[in-house]
Amino acid sequence: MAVIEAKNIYKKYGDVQVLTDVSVDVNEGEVVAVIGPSGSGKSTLLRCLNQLTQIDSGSIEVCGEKMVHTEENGVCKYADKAKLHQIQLKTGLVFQNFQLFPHFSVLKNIMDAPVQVLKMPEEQVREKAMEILEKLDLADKKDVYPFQLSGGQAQRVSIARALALSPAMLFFDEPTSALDPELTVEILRVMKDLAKDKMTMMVVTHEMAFAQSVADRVIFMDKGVVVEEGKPEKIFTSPDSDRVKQFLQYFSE
Amino acid sequence: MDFSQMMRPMLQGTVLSLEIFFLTILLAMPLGLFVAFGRMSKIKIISVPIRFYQLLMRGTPLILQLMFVFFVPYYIFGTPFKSRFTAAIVAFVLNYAAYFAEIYRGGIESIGPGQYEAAKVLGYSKMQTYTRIIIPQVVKRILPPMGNEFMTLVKDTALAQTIGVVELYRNATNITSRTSSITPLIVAGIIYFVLNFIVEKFFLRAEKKLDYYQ
Ligand SMILES: Nc1ncnc2c1ncn2[C@@H]1O[C@H](COP(=O)(O)OP(=O)(O)O)[C@@H](O)[C@H]1O
Ligand SMILES: [Mg+2]
Repeated sequence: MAVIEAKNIYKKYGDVQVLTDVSVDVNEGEVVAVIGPSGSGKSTLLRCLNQLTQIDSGSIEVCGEKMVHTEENGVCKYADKAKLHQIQLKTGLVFQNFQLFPHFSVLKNIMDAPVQVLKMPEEQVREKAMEILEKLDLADKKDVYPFQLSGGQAQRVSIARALALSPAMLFFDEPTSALDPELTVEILRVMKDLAKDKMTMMVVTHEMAFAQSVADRVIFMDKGVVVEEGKPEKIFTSPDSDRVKQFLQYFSE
Repeated sequence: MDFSQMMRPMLQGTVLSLEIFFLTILLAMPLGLFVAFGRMSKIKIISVPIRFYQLLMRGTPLILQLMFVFFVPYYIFGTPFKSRFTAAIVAFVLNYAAYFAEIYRGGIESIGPGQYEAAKVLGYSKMQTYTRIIIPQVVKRILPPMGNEFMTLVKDTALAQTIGVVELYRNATNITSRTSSITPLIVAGIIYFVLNFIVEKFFLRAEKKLDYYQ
């Protein structure tokens, strides 16, 4: 089953065409890595799929629910507010710079949305939050505040925060780019574990080794278009596109 | 005139000064929030007049504004404000709301877009995003400049005497001119100082209370 089905997405910022006819889908349990040079539109794609920005044309379905579609006459129509909210909760997004809420403790960062947004009973949420924290090896940090965390810990908390809402899939936008190399490893390990548990994920990353070893599929983007897409074995060893070859060569240097 | 005889009107004046202070705070703080959001509005017919109002309030002397508020009804309706006290409150609230709004705006704009985005992705409504995520962080950031404004207001209440509100300063000068003693002025100075000492303490406490995060 497709968790994400995005077709023919166009997105402009001012005069700049940032996404041109981009189509991607993500199936249940799949890990999709998105790679490509800086400025190629990877973040923008994620932002479109998470309703952080609106597309100009195309269609997006999340778990079979229509978020936005474009009619024959070219009018791009989003679903109503209630539906969009419901769709919003189906996916989680992990930011490059964590974006934890600084005034909430670690536990509260994780519990607040399930309690306030999903109106789940606090005790139940606490149990679940603690379970996630244990799993991410953060249980001893539950009462500290974000400024007291290392980058790696902060990123794990932000992953825990996203997981607490039980999303059907998680998006990651360069989750390790703000981290030192030794902390990068700890986040990649968490993501690997999530992949093992069959969590559906779409990961924008510059960690080629990670994309190669964990992803089921790799999407290469350049200048707002999907240049090539395929199994990691194919993309990393014998890509069709010269642009991909060039890009990977740059990384192997 | 002995000391206790002098202190009676002084304390009454202090009560009036405090009334001006608290009423201004109570009304200008929420009004300032509306002004701040209006100022940040993308709709020009809202943001431009509000900016002009703020410029007027911040760009002209408060003492003039007091006079205007008190006398303008006279030119329009033929009668001045019934209550001098009310006129003073109106002027103070209009003036301070403009300043508070700028402080709020600075605080709100200092919170990066990432916090809004994180909240949206987690399903918070716009209202929840403000009340649970943005405002609490803004409160911490605006405490020092708000403390400044509060202390200025304590002293500014003395300007109400220019439209005949008999508050602390006016009482002090009245007694001084009657008795040719500067003691009342010294006492008034001490009272203003003590009030601001309390205000400062209050804000330091609040800052300390919010010290648990960065
Ligand atoms: N909010 C924005 N306003 C204007 N231009 C933007 C905005 N966000 C991104 N862009 C532009 O869109 C292009 C793609 O950006 P982005 O999606 O961040 O690329 P990537 O994540 O692949 O580095 C860049 O040229 C960038 O400057
Ligand atoms: Mg990016």
